[in-house]
Amino acid sequence: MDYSDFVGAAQPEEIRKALAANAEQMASAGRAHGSGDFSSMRYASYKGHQIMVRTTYEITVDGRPFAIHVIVDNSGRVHYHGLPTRDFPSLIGLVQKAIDMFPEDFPEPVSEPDPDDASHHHGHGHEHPHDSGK
Amino acid sequence: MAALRRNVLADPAVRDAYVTGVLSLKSEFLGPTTSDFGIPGTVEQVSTYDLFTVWHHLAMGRMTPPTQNDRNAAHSGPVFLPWHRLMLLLFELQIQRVLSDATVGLPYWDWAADGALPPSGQVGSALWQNSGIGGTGRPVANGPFRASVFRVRIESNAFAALRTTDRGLNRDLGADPDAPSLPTPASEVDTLGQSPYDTAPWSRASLGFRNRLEGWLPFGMHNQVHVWIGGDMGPATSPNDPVFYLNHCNVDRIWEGWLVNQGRTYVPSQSESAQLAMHRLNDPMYSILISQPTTPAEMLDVSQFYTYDLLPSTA
Repeated sequence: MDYSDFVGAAQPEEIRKALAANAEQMASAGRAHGSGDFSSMRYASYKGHQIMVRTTYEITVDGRPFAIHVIVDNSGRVHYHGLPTRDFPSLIGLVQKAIDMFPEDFPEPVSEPDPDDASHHHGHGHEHPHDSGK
Repeated sequence: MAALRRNVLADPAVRDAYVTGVLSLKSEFLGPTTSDFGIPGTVEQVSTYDLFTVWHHLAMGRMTPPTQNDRNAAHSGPVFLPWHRLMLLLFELQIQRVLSDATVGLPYWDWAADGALPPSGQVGSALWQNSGIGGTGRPVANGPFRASVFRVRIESNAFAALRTTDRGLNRDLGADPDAPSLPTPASEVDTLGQSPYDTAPWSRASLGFRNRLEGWLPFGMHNQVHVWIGGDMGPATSPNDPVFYLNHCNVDRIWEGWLVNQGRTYVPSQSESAQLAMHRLNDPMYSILISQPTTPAEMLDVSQFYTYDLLPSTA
């Protein structure tokens, strides 16, 4: 494609045509990434042996399932599509970051807070109305 | 006539043109609605600006091939650089269209220059002032993209699905302990010295220039900038923040510097496995906004579209 082709493709009518041609896959945008099989597969070769590791996590936050597709690389670091420009040494750290980044998806817990969870008392500097357990 | 891409801090007119273009695209509606994208809730118009955000999100969720969950249609693989070059080129053409000026180029943010400053100086850089693109906050309260002017209308949730919203931009500059500072000039020089362009397994685990610049091995560069800014730059909908394009324009500038120094080469070639479809030299790249197939090969020399005022130094 040359310059004039790209300029033509940038016109509103051409954009509408492109969108119409991709209507079927566009309709999937509202669905979660990586839905379906939530296993992560790792493969490696070692001294002629073929190694396969399938990892499946069950994650809950405040008792509610946090069904995400966790990807584990061969060094054991974990990654997920919700935070696509980073990975984590620990899945706990990943979930903690998800709670920080998407607070709307993790309502304030209503149960008695863990007294050992220092962040609950000092981490955010604001009141937690449910902390009294009333 | 080729556009000239300049440092966003070089001249107030560069920044002003970008801001005007972004706000125009944010208020333009070509017809698509949230319903067309399967986004639940009340049906709303999707702005031209937000179409690019949705495209980026869709590309992130398209695994290439679907049997693995690392490499997607725009990231964690060789196509990372040409795909974003295409995205930025189409976005630049939209800005030129709404400004009726074919010479306007996307500006870049030379983040490695700010990375030479101490962390407090990085957050206080001119870019984040009223005269730049505003600063940190939830929501951002100053600058041209403050909450009273610029609204985020589509966002990703924790499950990486899209939903509608109506809020200001979120940024947490320098607040993430995993990225307390920006990439340095030394890391940029080191990246420019990497060769070849990419290597098997063509993923986040690859050695080579692409993965160093994308920032997976080691963590740094492009990824570090996303994490350092935080807020809306975190999820797959990161183009929600106009700084996304300033970051990627700088990434593209670094790639252009590498192409000038090391030759306009790209791998994997078309003879590589079909498992690498959408990443090979002559594969059509994933797009919902352009009908004509565009390949990585077509992105290796874009001098007919734009040039940079200054390429990064290799020493």
